Amino acid sequence: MRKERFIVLIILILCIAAVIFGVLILKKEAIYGVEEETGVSGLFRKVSAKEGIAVVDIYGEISFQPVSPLPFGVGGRGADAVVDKIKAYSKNPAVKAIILRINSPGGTVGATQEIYDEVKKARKKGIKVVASFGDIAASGAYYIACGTDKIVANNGTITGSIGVFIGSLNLKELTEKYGIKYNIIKSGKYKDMLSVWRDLSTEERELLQETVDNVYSQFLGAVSSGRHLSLEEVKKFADGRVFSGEQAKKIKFVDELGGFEYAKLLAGKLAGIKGEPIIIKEPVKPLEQIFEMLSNMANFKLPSASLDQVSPVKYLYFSQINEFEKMFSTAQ
Amino acid sequence: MAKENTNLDMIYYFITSPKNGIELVREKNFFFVALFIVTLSVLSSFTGDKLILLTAVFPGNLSLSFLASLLLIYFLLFSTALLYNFIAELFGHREKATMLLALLGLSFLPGIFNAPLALVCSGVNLEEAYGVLKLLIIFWTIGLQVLCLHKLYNFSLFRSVILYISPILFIFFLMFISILIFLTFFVLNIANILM
Repeated sequence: MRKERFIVLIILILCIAAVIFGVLILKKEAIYGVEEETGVSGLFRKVSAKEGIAVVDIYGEISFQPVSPLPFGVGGRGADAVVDKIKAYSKNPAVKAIILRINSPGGTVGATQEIYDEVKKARKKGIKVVASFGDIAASGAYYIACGTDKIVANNGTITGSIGVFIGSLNLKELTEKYGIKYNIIKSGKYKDMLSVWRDLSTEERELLQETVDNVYSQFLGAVSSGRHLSLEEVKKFADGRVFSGEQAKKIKFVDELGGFEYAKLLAGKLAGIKGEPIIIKEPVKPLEQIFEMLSNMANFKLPSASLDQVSPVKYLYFSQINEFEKMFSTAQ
Repeated sequence: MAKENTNLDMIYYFITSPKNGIELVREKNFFFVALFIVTLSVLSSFTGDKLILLTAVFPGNLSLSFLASLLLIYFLLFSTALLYNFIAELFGHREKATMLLALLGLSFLPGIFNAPLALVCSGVNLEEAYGVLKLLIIFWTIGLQVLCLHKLYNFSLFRSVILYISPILFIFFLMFISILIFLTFFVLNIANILM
């Protein structure tokens, strides 16, 4: 019986050792994230603690509005989620570079600037940041890209649209026609500026123009410092016009022409990673998994139009070209 | 015989000759060894699954996640053991609940091989094979548990299988009802948002 006892003891010890070894690997993964596209697979990939690059997607309109109706901020919290991701990757010792994969027509000023500031903070920590443009990276999306080390665009990417606007509908004549009246009690004479029920006064127009000019100058400053161009050089093209990627490269608004793969190699090179860099993915949160599964089961989609209904008046770094692009795509 | 046998002997018999293992447990109470085996088995399964699936279900909270799994297994183990004993009593077969608990706990023994198998499969790039091996371990565990019920209550094999699946069917029924209620509320809630 001694022999059997010895065998069982060895089996138990091996099992316990395997568990300890496995837990150590899992701990490493929890700290460094999950590696993908390494070329090496299996256990050896998990044991090696390689440095790599992270990818943060900035898709659609940049805003603080949640892009998902699911509770607890699950499924996307707009700009906050992007800021959180950049912050998390900045703290990850394995992340040496971040690629901002941008496909956005811009968005609200505050949201844009928060992401821009977080990019700058990441760079201060020594992390290289590269912006990779998809179909469109205009206005606020371009503002964010100006905070990165390098900008890579496709030849046909729509970019630029440097500018700010604020606006609202004016239904005065329509309401008068149908005899609709609007009662308002306000604390100050400008409190209902941009109200849909009345015209904008000259005084109000001047006040709003001042604010728009101020926000616009912030945009110019960001482009000037980010692209290492003088304010005069930037102003020449900062009248809201859009450029193709190729045009933007000629006027130094982007650094390189190429796709995501090129941006990946560039980011790896800037970060001093030898060979093809690995992509470090952040672990999927359990609540996101559960709610995604449940929302898929309920076959639920939020209509995009409802996202704009929360705040009727806002300053925007936004490109109208996106609306035309949508129409063009639909027509095709 | 009972005095001569150690915990290691019992584990050896449970792997190689489960019938003798069960007899041994009936003679000598291995309750705390069973609890140790359950803990090791859950930890091994948890580690193995995470290693292969690569998804961190509770990122940064591995210990918390493991603790939750362990508590869930203990809860299921205790509740099913009580339920089995209750049903067996209805059929006139009375046994000590702690003995049944020990036997059901020791049936988790195959689960301790999960982590070593996951490491081997991962090491030789045969991660898909882990799924098959895991399935075999699950069937092995189920087989042991049915055998325990069969030997302990002297039921026929068919009756033992029915007894074994009765709480599982009950739990599945409860889960189905809960999911149905949750989804109904979820869909209704979404409908309200859209309106």
